[in-house]
Amino acid sequence: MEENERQAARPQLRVVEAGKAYGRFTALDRVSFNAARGEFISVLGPSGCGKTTLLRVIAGLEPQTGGEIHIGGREVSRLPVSRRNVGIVFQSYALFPNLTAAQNVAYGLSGRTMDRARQARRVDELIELVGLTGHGRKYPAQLSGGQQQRVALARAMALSPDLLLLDEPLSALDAKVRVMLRGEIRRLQRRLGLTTIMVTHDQEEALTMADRILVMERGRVVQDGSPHEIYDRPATPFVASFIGSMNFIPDAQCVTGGTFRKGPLVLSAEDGRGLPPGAKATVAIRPEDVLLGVNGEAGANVVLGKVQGLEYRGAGYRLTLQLVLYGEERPLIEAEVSTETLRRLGLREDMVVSLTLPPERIRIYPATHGGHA
Amino acid sequence: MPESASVRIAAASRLPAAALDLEAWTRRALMLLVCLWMCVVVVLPLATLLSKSLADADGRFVGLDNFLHYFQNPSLSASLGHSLAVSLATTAISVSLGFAFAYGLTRTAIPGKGLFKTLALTPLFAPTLLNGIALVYLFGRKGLITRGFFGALPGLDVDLYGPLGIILAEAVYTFPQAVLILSVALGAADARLYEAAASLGASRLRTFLTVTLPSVRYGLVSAAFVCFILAFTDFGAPKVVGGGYNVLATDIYKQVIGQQNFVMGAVVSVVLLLPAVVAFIADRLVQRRQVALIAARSVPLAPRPNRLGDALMLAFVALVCLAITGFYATGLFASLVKVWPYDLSLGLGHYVFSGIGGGGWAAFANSLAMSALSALAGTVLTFASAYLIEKTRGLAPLRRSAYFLSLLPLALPGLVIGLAYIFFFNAPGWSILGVHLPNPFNFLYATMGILVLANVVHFYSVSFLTATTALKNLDPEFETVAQSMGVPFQRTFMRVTVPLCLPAILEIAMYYFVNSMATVSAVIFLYSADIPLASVAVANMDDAGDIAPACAMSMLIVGANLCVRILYGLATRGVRRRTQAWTKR
Repeated sequence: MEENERQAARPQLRVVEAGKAYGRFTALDRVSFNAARGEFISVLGPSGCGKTTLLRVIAGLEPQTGGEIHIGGREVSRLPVSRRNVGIVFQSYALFPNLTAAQNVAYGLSGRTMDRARQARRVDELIELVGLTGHGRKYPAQLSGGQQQRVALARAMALSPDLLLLDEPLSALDAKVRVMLRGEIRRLQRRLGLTTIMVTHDQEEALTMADRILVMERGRVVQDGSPHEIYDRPATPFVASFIGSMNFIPDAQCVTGGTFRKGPLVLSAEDGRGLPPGAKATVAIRPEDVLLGVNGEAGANVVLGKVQGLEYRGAGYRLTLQLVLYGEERPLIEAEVSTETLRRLGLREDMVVSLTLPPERIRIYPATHGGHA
Repeated sequence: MPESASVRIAAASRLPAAALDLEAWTRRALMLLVCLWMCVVVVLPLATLLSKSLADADGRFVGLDNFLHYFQNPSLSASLGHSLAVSLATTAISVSLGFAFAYGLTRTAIPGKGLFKTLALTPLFAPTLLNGIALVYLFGRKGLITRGFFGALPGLDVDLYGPLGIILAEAVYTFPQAVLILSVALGAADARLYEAAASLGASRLRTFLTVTLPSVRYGLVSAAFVCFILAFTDFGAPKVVGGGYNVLATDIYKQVIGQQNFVMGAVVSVVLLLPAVVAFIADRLVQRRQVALIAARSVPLAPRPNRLGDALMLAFVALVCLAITGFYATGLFASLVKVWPYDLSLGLGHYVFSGIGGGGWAAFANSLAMSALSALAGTVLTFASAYLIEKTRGLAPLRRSAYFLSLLPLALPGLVIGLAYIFFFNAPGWSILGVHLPNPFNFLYATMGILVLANVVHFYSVSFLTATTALKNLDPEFETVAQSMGVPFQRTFMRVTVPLCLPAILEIAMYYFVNSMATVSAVIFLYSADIPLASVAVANMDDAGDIAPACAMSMLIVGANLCVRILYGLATRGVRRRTQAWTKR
């Protein structure tokens, strides 16, 4: 059923078990995923996780050592980059400094079976598209970083690629420009219905721009899902700690379905229902899901904690709390509170508060997942 | 969407598939061609030379007999010791003076650095024969200083002809090379290290010993190797002021031209080649280690004024420049004087060259033509092959071999190239396993072509390195971007790579021209009677005792080179102005 649907959707990009090894080092370990027409996919991971290799393999800049790549329904695994019909924007933009913005955009067009007038029209169209009208005759060095980025984008789109590949396209820009361009690239991509793969190490960029995120770790895709899924239900402790932050309570034991014990601490979690009693697991919760109270709240998943540290974060505070428990182990839990909450509860250091860890917000990672980063 | 119509048209206009597979193959074929070309012009001639040195006059293989004979004959083998001695002395002088000079240019706040640097580099434009001739006019039997400025002062007679003369001439010749290399090394200082040393209370001497010297040690080693190789293999200076003090370079010439003993010429060539090759390999190894040590982000060091230090340094730098200027001014003066030292009235009589051997103005014209052709051919060949080697992805073994072969000429003395070329290009053919193979390159022998070829190869490596450095500075993704748009690489080469590398290309062309004009060693075996050359004419006129015309001819060479240098300066300024159009906001 699901398979049939996928067939019908005709993915614009199909990566099947793509592998890349350099000698004994595996840079890509049988990576598979599809991208539907018009989808914006972000490949996210720390440096060295293989995300750039994946992009280069898709582009045909790096021959893969296994698997297949299909673009627009065509197998391109053995084709050089020039025959894959992809547009690429590099981290450095690689704009030709001796050519004007317009000449850069026209670079792939000239020398083709397109007459000059139509070429010029197409260049104007593209320059307008990226919002650089009037800047066509400037050299790259005369343009700001953001404008250069747009020229690179226009150049990559000039040949109407089947696939747009962005390699950390915003990493060289100032924070403000970056945020602005994020929205612009996204709007442009939507408008043109251009299937896009963007490699980034910036989680915020991935979360705000992508329809889907592939999180990579050591040459593998460890999670493939919508930004919401990735953030809300991170598949592994690695994903959880790489995107946003997460409190981990390791070495907890399943008591009955959905209840976990770590020393004197007993927590129930919806996520762990399927685990058999006795199974070891890591209990995890995001700081912003921890609720604080000072009115002696009681009930399931409520524990007392002492405020150890208050870290000002601008929009709010990050609190470090030590759980007040009998016995040796007193885990630290971080909680995110707004300035308003802090003020309302009168929070300060050394104060004892109650923490509620909502069962529906707790993630359980069975111990087989190994350690987290 | 308005785009979709043109979208489809553009997509349909992509190049046909076959054309692009062809591109990969073209690159591969061109790369093979580069290797093949280096084999024909470097490896095969060298192999021929080597085989000559292992055979007797009739071509029978005799193993190392010739070398045994060479080393058992003290009148021959003494030259090796002589060559080593003068080269080491030259290296010591050039590197220490060059270091102090470069230090003055880079690390002190003295005025007039640009002028001083220009003056210090003058010897680069002169044939080394001129260095010898100028010395003769200064310290020779009728020299300016020997005779105390024509009797105005007490004279000073140094024993010029012999090691002293050679060392002085080679020191002038190698000094600018040392200055160039050490200026780069000293110029790349990291201010943060000096600030750290100062904050830790290190004295100036301690800072010099613990920061400055270690940071330039590779530059020092490199400068020493370069000066050594240049002095060791130079022919011009010992030819003029060597007197009875034989060195390897003059021995080769005497064996080949004087005694027509080609076998012994080949043997001495190999003896000359080996230390040069060792120095070359050592230098490459040292340079490779250096790459790993360059800091990613360093803060440039701005020299601070220091009254006493700057005054001393200014005096030293000015003195060196005065000496160099005076040196060549003496040459210019001598070329204009009617009869040195008796009739000091000035005139252009020595520039007529009538009734004097060597070829006169025709030789000068030939040299100009040869140098222009060498500059053209050399620039195109070195830049194109550097591009192929630097900007081709994959094919690593082929690229590495091509790279190594391109650097090999750096170790080859001009005389060795010349002699190897006689052997290789003059051979009518070879018999390999009974099959006679006619020599396809034989037609080049005794033509302008072989002269140009010898120059192209002689000055290949430095040009190649200049081109490679310029190419390395270009974003490696330029090629990828063009490729992803299906633009053939030769188009990107012409539209982007060449324009961006124009300053380096001009530099290479100038380097080729200037050196082809000044060189005597590579061409002295190769020129034919109907193509006389200016630098060879200098050697021959000096041989015949016509020193003043020889000096005049040298001055013409220097003049031509300075003109080209000025042209180069104007051209780069023009290019820079255009470059600034790209960089101006």
